[in-house]
Amino acid sequence: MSVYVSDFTTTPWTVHHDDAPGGAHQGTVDPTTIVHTKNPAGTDDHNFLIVVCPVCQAASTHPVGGGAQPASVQQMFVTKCQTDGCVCGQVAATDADTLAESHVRLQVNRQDGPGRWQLG
Amino acid sequence: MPNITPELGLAIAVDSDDTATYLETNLGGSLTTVDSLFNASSGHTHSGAHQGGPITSAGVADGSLTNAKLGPDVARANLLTNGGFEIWQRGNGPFTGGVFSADRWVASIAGTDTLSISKDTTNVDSAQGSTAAAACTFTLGTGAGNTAIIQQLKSNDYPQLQNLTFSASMRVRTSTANAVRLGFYNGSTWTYSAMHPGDGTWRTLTATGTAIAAPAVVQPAVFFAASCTAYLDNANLVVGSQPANYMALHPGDELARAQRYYEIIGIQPGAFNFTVYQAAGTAVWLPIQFRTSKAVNPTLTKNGTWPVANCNQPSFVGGGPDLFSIGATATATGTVSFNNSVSGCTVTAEANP
Repeated sequence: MSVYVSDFTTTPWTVHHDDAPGGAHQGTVDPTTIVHTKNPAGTDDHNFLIVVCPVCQAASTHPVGGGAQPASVQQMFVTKCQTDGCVCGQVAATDADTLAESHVRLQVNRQDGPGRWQLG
Repeated sequence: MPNITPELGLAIAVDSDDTATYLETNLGGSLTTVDSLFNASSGHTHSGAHQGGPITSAGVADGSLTNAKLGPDVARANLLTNGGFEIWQRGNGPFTGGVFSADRWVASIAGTDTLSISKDTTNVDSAQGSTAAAACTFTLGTGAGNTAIIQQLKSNDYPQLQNLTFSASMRVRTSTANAVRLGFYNGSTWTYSAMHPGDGTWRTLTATGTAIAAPAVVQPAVFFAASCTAYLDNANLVVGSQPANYMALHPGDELARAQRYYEIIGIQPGAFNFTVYQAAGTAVWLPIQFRTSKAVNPTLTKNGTWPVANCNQPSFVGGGPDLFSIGATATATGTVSFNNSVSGCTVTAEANP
């Protein structure tokens, strides 16, 4: 499936790498190591996050819509946005969690269309 | 008892009720004679065919054969991707847990059940041309028959599913009775096939259902209810009340279907080489088009540690269902290069609707 977060409940987060060459494996990552990709201009792109496998260093770039693992990836974007705010400046870390979730949901709708949202 | 109509094979006799009665001595022959006389007098022709003979296409009214009259060997369009379990882009397994194994087939594990899935090129449904199947080793825990291997057809990927009747079929082989059955989910409820009898032979399991209005998903699934080893092959999902046998697509078409959801770039080591002269601290990006547009924006995974010169490990920028860009930032002014000459250095794109 890719390198994705399977457990957000404890820090560091647990990640799985399901389609790793040679077989699936898992490990933990510090959430602060999960960062956005850069736009060609060098600014952070709030539509993508990179998760690096702690075992084999494979790096999965997840779109906010969810890509290979929609529920997990959307939750990752929401949690990051609630904790750090959004790099686009529309959501601050001090804003209500619901604002962060609404912001990510809007991103999902824009990227993959209505109906893609997997969270409750 | 004279034979008064020798051409028709009829005779008159008087039996116990003293009433003269025609007796037939050759009914088929007499009807043929009557038919010939009718043709001769009316100009009607059967073109050589007579009552009781074979029905030809001319004898069937246009548009009168319904789906319900079709046999399973009448090929129809298969809505599944990789129904033949021939494509295993993620590898040959074994796969455990709730993950994809053969392309588009994902396991759903219930309770403490365990299920291991591998590509098998020996135990295949060769009678229907197969070269690969899914070998499943299942151990029942607390799943109570709910562990399954599923192929989902989601409405955001297949927008024209509602209200149609579907028939699913799958070839299954197991030596354990009452362990494996096929199900079909219509967006609301499941219908099931009979259990495989466990006679160690390939059996065709079928299930039919009608999708509800606006279903989020319809799906066939094979369920495991008792510990067993089972082989799955040649699954089919067709529109209509009659299941159809699996018939392989052209391999190029089948691979293109699978790559709508999962694609590997750089399968051949050394095939990917990129070199450019670049100023220090600036990034260079190479756009790459997918072979097949993805169902949704995909996750891109860079596998392996790529050989690089004068740059960091390559990464991605932007991206969408049809293409992505891979690139790196020059450490110093000069030639920047990266390649996948080491085995395992690939990019995978995965899009699960």
